[in-house]
Amino acid sequence: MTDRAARRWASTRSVLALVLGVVVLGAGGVWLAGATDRGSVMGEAPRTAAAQRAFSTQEVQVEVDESAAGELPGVRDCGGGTPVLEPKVITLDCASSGQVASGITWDEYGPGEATGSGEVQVSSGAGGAARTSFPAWLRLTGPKRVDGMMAFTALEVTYKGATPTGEAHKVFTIA
Amino acid sequence: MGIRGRIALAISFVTALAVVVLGVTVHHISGLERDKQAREYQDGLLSSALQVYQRDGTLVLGAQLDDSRVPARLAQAVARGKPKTYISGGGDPRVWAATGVGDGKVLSVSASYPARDPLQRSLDQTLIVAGAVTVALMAVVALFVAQSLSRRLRLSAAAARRIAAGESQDADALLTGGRDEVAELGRSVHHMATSLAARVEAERGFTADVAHELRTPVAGLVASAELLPHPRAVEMVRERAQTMRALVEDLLEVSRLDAGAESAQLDAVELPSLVRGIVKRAQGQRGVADVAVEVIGEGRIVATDARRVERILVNILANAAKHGRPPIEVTVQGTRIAVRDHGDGFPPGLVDRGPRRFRTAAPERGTGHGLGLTIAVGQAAVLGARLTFGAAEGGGALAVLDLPEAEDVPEEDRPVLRGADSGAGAAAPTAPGP
Repeated sequence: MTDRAARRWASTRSVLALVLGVVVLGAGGVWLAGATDRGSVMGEAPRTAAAQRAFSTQEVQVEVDESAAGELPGVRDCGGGTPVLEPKVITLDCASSGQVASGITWDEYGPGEATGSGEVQVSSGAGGAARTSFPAWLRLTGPKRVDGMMAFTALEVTYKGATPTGEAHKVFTIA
Repeated sequence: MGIRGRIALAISFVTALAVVVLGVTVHHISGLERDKQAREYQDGLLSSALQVYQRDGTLVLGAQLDDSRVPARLAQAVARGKPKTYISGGGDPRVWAATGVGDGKVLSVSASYPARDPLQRSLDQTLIVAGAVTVALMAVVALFVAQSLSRRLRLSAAAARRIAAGESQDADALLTGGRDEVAELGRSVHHMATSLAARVEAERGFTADVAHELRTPVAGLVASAELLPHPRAVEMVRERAQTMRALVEDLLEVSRLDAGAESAQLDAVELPSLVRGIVKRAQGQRGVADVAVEVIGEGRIVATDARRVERILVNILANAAKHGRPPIEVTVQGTRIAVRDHGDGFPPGLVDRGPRRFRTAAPERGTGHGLGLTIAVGQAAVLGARLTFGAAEGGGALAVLDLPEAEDVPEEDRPVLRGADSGAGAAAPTAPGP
């Protein structure tokens, strides 16, 4: 009698283990199916949304007015337009438009130079999985009077970590 | 499959299952992370491109205005006013980020995004290799662990078998160190074996002592009966005394067999002649009569102890004569001797478990002290032969004695023949039984 009871218990345990295994595998299959579908669903774009909000609330660069032109130099993006004080975004490679410094925050912004940090965005020609953003320290130098207004003429970029081309330090002519 | 194989297989299976589940999970999580990162990269590019576009109206970082390739679902989502990212499938899978810039225009960036990324393929290959190595390693480790367990169990089993075979107990083999279940089992078996051995030894000693003590007075009784004056009384007392002496002699033989003190003295003998001689001498003794001997095939010369073969056959014939019904048929074929009677057959208990001393097991087999067949089995063991009991076709008891073939015994274990003509036609010598 004891043996038979033990055997029945063992059989019940086996059935329970089997059912548990099937449930786990089923749940795993459902999760995997869901995970596979996630690739084709729509996703949010929080940084773009933030840029859009900033534009709509006029948190944009301040153009240099005539009265302040003699005091602080601005930045003429790709050598054109009106110089902008403390720009949030600067085009680095004007020929291909493939490199942009963005999200810039300035620590110091003076008449001789300006220092700050941001990230260099690189056009993703290498594919969607390739890195496109590289944090860097930025330094504006070479203030000159251009078209009657003061503007910085060079931007030094020092990458904090990974670099897009292997060079940790690079100087761009911006005016 | 032994316990070692089962444990190794179970551990390998569980490891393989864990590796597969882990591998699939890592593969999918890395895929999801790759998707998320690709979306973030495009979102970052689009945010920068949007700022430049809003400031200067120029397109940078590969951004496109009203790109015709923008998937319809993405375009519809962007039209509702919020920037979105999207991974499209099809022949040219791409990762997208898009946003509306007013006047129904859509600014977008995209990059090719193949389903099979080289980095992920490399990760998959690494997972497969690492998984296979892990399973193989775990199988080897499990085999070693299980082998240790199995070896200790086998040692305990071997020691128990030796005790069951009547050999002296090996305390070291059973008294294994440790506190685990195997050590506990070994200790339990050791205690059981010790207890059983002591009990068997006590019974064996008791049988030998009783037989030895009875032998002298019974011999005196037989001798004294000769001096009685009345012939009938003499006959009755002598008959009873002879029976008692035979019983005492049987008991002594059983005790010697139990003690393993017997060994075979092998001679080369022609088996059919030996059997015919034994049957001839047995007829007329202990009620043995009406016995026919048949030899099938060519008669074999075997190396055996003729005296012990006679002891076995006489006991079987006596049992057949006493408990079965004539005619008794003795068949010799090769090294096999079969004795069949036409009675009711052996009782099932005897066929299944063999003869037991002082048990006749079935009333229909008549009375008896049950020592004859016990002695026959013991003597067969001394010869290295096998004695089995069963039912004959058509009814009746069938006892079969299989003497060992010469090739059954290793060369170094074969005894030297005494006075045997081991020339042509002689069978190879056989070993004594255990």
